Amino acid sequence: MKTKPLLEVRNLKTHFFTYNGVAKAVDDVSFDIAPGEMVGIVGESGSGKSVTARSVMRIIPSPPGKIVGGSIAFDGRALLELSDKQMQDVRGNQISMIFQEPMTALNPVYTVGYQLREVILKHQDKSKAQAFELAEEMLRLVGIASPDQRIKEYPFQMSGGMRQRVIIAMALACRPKLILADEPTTALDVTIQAQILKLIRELSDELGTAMLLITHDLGVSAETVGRVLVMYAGQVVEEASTDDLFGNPLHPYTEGLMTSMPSLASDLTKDSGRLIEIPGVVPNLTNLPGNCYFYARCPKRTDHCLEQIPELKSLDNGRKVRCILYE
Amino acid sequence: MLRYILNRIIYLLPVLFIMSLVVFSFIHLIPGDPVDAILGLNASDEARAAVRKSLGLDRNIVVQYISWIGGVVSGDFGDSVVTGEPVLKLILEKLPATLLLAFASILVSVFIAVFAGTIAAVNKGNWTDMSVLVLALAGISVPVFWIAILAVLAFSVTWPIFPSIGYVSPLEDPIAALRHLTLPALCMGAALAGAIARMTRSEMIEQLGKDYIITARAKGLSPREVTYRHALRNSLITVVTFTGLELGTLLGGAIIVETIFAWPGLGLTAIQSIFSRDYPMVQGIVLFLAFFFVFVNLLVDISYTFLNPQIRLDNGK
Amino acid sequence: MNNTTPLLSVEGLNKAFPVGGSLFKKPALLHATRDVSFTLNAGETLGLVGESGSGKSTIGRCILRLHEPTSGKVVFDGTVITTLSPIAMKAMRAKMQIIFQDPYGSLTPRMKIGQILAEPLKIHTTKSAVERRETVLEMLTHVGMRASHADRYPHEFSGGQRQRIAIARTLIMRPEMIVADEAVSALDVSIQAQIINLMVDAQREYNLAYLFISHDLSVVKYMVDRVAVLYLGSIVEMAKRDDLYRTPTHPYTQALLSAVPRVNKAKRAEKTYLSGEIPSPLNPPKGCPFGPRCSRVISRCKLEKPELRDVGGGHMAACHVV
Repeated sequence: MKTKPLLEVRNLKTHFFTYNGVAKAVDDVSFDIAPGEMVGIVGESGSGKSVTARSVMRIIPSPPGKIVGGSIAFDGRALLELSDKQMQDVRGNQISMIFQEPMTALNPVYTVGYQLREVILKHQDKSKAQAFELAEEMLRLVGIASPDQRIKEYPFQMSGGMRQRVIIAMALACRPKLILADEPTTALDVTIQAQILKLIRELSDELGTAMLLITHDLGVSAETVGRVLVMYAGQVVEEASTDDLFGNPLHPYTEGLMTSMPSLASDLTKDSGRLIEIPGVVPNLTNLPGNCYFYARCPKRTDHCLEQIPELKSLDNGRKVRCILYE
Repeated sequence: MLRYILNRIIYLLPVLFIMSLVVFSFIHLIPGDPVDAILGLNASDEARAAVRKSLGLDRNIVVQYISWIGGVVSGDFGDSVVTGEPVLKLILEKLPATLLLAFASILVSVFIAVFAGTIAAVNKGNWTDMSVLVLALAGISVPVFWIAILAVLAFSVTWPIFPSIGYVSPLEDPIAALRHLTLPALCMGAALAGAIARMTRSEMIEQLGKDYIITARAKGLSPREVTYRHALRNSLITVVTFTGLELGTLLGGAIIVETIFAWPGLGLTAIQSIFSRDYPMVQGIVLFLAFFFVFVNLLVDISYTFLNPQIRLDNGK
Repeated sequence: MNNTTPLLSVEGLNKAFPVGGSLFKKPALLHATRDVSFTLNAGETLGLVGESGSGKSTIGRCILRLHEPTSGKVVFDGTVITTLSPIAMKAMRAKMQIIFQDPYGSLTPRMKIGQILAEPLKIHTTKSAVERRETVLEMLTHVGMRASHADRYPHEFSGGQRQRIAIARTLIMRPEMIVADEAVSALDVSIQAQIINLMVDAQREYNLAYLFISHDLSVVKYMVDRVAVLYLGSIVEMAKRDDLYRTPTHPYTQALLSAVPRVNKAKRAEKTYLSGEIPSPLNPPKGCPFGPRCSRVISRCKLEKPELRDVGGGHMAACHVV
């Protein structure tokens, strides 16, 4: 990386101490995000992608969760060493987060304008009137028509797509340097999803905001970000540029994801062949094996895979893979 | 919003009607002849017939009801058998004292309870939470007369801080009024406080688990802002409903508390009227309190429109 | 079974839900589906595709009379089911089953898996307990679970496993048709593939007809023989799978297909971004429901709602312009 990274996550470990044991939700995750860059994390449930983002924001519910190791450097500051109050200054201000369910992410008893103004007044030195104005401007920025009327409305009066726009407005109001977007369009209709992704891309370009886009949808990732991390059972198993990753997946899990997904682009239908499934299920995070976590489901496994947990290795072309096949 | 209120008022009318029927039936189902209570068992037949006639008890029961309810609607609740004065006048004389007591105990108990419930929810699982729950349970389970007697023993006899009986009007002497008000208000509010604390706690726990709370945290709001401005505000809807419903319990406690503390309110008067078989008085007080309770619940319903924007805007689509 | 008469025939299906209303106001009517007609042949899969407000789920439920249709006719296996008595309908239910979206809500949490699967057999057949147990275990292993799972409770299983159990439950009565209402939407990608394969295998084995309801166009493309695209309660396009995906005719279908994000960069087309929101079914636009958002709208579109007509080779579209 030529420019100094905006976000540097090193060996992050977040564990959940539950009744059934310790769930290693995030187990030794490292990655960088440059200023203005759009990076994606792709994974299924239990991969640890959401927990990673919430660890950066330090909003892991504790108990039962806890960041037990690693470091997170943001804009030169060590986030894990900040006090609670200092972290509150960072949230919503320098790093914002948007979530999956727009229908429940907003407080139902306050107007949209109130909730927007709240984040502005919290972090910026503005009067109530100025905050009001800025709130309206933000609504316009995210493409909401008649923002002066909408600002007085309550969330229940708006559709899912519109609520997500409000949430994006709230996230951008203080011009953060980084946005963490956790499945922002998963709960939206396809045509609305396209609108929102376009909005996110345009705003990120315009404002120079870096973004970490978390999704299980490979297509969304492919069309929106420049570099992707694939996560499985709390670890990063592959990292590459979007074109490289989807054009030529290296890790058997990534390959498996792509072949098991029906796609509009391929001609594969039930008449022409089966979907090549990944057998089995994701391992139990409280009971992870001492070898490669994907071993039990991997079509390319060998006896050597049982020897140890493979490291995430950097390849010459800037790609990274965690698999014995590439060592 | 207006439509909602109108709706509520219209639904009130059948409720009031049925209540008057119930009150009337109850009084007349009580065993024992009112005439006996008034004249004693050795009265002559003529005297009994005369009293019966003066009370209107010789008429058909439906006629009695209609005559009574007709009077009620026009403000005539009948006359007290004991003093001969109009029932309504006596009720209105005694009402302020009860209202003062009720108001004070609600105010104090709600304040304390909501705060305690919130603290318990935020500290779920640890000692603070457990203490609140134990105290709340104690408040609900321990009979009010026991609490009252203990309170008097502790704070009037052993450490004479508060007077044990009596009432002083706040209009005459605010400080003395407050001193006399303290013990009865606290005793009466104990059960209500316990119930509200538990309700607040469980509602807060539910709200704190919701998505909008995570959004609020992600905005950089402090834990206090998140708890009070966001979670509590949403919990209020349920807590207010619950308080409205529990007011009935409060009024029930009033009778005992007023008796113990010799507080000259409706509760004490009700007891006295029952013992003296003052049927019109008892009937009047019960009906009045029932109407009052219904009215308070109407206010609770109306308060929804302020707490819940969805109702205010007629379930906007 | 006659090969030319369809297994399922839906004619003019309408379903309106009353919304709001009080002592002073009559409730408004939300038309979830408007005048929907289509057929489904034995062993065939018809996809019902649409976004929110399209009415696709409502159609599935009306066919099974889980909602009562407001008007219209549904004919299944030669019988008009919309007018059947409850007792006669109950017998019909053995032949038409449904799989729901939420694997966590569709299984009774207090019953063991074995009991859940045995229930349809108890209701519809006269098998003894031993015979039922045998059938249950057979079906359980058939869908990829183990016989020992029969004595466990739903909460002990993952989403994918529960969906397998739900499928086993539908198959146990050897139905002729299954309505799959977003059956794989709540599953992870890798599990989705397993369930899709299972459903396709079951279709071949039991000659099942599927009414496959989904918002996921990629999954639909894999699963179906024919597709119907729904918008605001009406069918706007209906065609054979390849026809629809290769040459979508209706402007909405075209926008829908272009909006789907694609992994393969080379195959990515220019996106058509629709303006505005999906209108509320309570207040649909006059004329063509898609009019306000359509790039090819003409004046006729605002006045007259287009009928579904053949635009070539059995490919149906409801549009004035194409």
